[in-house]
Amino acid sequence: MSVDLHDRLLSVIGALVRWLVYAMLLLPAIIVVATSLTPGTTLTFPPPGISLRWYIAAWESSLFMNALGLSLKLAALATVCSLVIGLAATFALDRHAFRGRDLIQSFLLSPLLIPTVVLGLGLIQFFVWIGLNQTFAGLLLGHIVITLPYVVRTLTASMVLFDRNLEQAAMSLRATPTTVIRTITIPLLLPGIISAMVFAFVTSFGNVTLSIFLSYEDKITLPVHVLTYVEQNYDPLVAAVSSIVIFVTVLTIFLADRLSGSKPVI
Amino acid sequence: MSQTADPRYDRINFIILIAPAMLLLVVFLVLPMASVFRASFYPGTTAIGSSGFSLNQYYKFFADSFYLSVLMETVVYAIITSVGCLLLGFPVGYSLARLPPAKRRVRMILIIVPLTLSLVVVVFGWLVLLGRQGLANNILIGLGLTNTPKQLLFNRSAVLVVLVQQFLPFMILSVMNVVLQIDPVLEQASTSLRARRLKTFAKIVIPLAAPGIISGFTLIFVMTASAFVTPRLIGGPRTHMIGGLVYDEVLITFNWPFGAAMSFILLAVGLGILATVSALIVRPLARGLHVR
Amino acid sequence: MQAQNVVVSFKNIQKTYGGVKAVAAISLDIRKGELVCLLGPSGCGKTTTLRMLAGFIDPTGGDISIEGQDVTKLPAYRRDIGIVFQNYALFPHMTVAKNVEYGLVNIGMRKAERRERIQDILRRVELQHLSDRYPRALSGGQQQRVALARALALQPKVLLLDEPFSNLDAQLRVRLREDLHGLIKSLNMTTLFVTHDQEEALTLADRIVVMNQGLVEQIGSPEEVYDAPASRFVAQFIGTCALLEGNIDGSGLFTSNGGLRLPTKANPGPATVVVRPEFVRRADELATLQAHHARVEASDYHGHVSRLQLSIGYDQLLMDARFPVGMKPQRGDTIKIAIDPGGVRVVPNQV
Repeated sequence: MSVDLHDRLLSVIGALVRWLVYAMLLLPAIIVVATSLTPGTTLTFPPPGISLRWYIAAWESSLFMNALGLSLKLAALATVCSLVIGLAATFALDRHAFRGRDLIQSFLLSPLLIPTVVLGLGLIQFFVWIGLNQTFAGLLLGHIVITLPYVVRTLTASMVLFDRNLEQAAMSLRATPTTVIRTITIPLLLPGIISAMVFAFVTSFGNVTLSIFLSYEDKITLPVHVLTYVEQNYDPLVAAVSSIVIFVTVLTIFLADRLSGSKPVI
Repeated sequence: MSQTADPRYDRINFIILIAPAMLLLVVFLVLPMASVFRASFYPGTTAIGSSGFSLNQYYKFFADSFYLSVLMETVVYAIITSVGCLLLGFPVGYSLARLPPAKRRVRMILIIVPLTLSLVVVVFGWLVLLGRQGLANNILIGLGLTNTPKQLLFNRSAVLVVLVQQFLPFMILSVMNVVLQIDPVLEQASTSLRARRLKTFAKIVIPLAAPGIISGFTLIFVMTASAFVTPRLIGGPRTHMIGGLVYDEVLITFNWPFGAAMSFILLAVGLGILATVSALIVRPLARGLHVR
Repeated sequence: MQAQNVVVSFKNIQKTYGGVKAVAAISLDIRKGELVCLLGPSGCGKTTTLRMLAGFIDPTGGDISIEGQDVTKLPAYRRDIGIVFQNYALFPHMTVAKNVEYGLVNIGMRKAERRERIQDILRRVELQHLSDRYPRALSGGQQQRVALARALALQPKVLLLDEPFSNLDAQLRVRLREDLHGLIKSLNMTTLFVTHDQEEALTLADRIVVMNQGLVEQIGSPEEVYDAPASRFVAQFIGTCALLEGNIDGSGLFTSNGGLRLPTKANPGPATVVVRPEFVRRADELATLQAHHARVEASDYHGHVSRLQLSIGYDQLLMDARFPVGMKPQRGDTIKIAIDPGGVRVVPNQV
């Protein structure tokens, strides 16, 4: 009897915590989107009505739209670069057992554990020395460094699940190593590759803590713009811009989920 | 691919594949960090074109009670946030891991969207939520708890709430990934041996989940300790954390040597505390908690 | 054995991993159409040997040739072999037909011909109605047949089977074993297969290679390895038996250390004798022979027979026998038995 009561209490607490957490996690984004739809000029929740006037205002703001373009371009480039670099490295680590492999793996994941303020300071100082300060290349390199660990982690996880017998089976069926990679390895790792790309893309797209050190003049990313704008004043315009950031993020994740979900592998 | 390949060819292959990543991180992570370390020993207030070696910057930090109190406060924030994330994140991560895969996929999106959403957007959401005309005040007024809107922002609790929310997904995913590796049969076995749920958690689940808990804790501790956007916007001008001070030195006063010194003090103190915490917690955690 | 009949030839093949011998000097010829089985406990080197033939593992020493061509240095995709893996290794992102077609595309076969070949092979394994299914939608037995069809579609010189039945349940296993045997024999396919299941080896193989700790213990037909085991290991690994230690005198009479006497035709000296349980009979069945009084230590019912553990003095024996209803001996009973001399085998004593 008392055991039952005990366990039931525990499961009630567990359910409460879960709902609190889900609510807490989603609330900020929901509030931003809701307030961006206000027809008024102040941020109130719930909004007094629904209008798209602030989205139109955002669309007409060349400042925000240029920043959005820059952020998308930067995220796309950073994703491609860190995918290529990360895929090669993860593949090499997966296929070669040797002492010190774990060390290299941790090294590749280490940018996750370096505070971005510190990395930011390091990068601008270093870029000043080598002449990359205030260049798009510098901004891009910084983003590749911080997206790489996400790529490596996601790909490592999907490679662990990969059945190496499949490649051997393919080879016994007269497939040359390049054919094996093209027809077996890559297609089967595709869900992992897609989720690695999504993580890299949204990480780069939303980053503010490193971008704030590397942005300059006309190369200021959207999140940095939002940050500096919010520091001065906040109005429904910035809510609309923030909502655009939310839409891009959610859309990317949703699309990727569909893409990799249409063919659940194994 | 096949082990039939010539081992020399194999090694060359390996080096070609791993080289870009290694090169990238050595040049754009290790060298910059080394340059920060070097800069922290410059005597003056500028890093570019400086030379010489002195402990001035460190002396300046430790001689000033303001900086020391900010350091203390930063550490306290980091500890409270990590513990808060653990307490809230563990039940969620655990339950996610025990859901059927199809359901888990859907819930995972609820965790991943906030994780990957830009920090500024999240912080902005909280500003609106906790603002004078925000949802929180409307609820308070509606419940009759207050007549006039309260100032809910610009205090420590607000900063802590936002920090916890912002880093929770890391803990949830970390716990989930490790619980997925724990065979549910172990828990059933424990239950069949007359252990209560709580005891099963304490003796079976938590010890086996310890690696995930530790890695989540470490990551959150480091990220909180160096946070600067959240304390700045949510905490207002009177809330200070080391990350914010470094940011000011780098981008506002341009005193890079002092910013560098603070960075390394932050790293050293952070690592020291993490080492202590894991020495104090990891072993008992892995052995199982004491529950009657 | 004629040289031109030999399809696969292992010459002194070895594999060491960091000083540990996984396979120590195997030499073996497999003839055209022969079904050879590598049998042994896990870790005996049988799978390593198979994978060396497939080209997935490089031998440390020795040569492998297929139809007279040295393939030791040839990569897997240039060897003319087909392989069925223990977990079948079907490509999960391809349908059954695509799985079968995979190898045909790789050898550059034209589309019309491919289609014909796929149809033909799927008909042979009775899966043509499932050609558009994905592997995950198939049962274990169906998956195994797809794997087999995929390997056979290329008409390889050798077929390799790596524990092909271990993922199936007992009933299905026996049926599929018969189907597989029929198919392989009808195609006159040279086959090397690996198993740890002695029953599988005895029923399927033309020749069995018994391996233990990287060494070949015995090569012979199923009858040879069962009836005339070359070592204690073979005797114990294949079938069940009791082993008696003792000495043989000049007249060929074996006297166990426990005092049991059995006639043999072997040379004098210390020896080990194998007695299979089916050669231990009730005394009334073999009335002409000397009867022994045996004490029943345990009795297990197996359906078609009861297996008794017996002790005669200090010697232990096993016996498979049928007893009339109600007459089954119980533990502690004493029964009279006789030992069929045709079932007594002397195993050479190893140094």
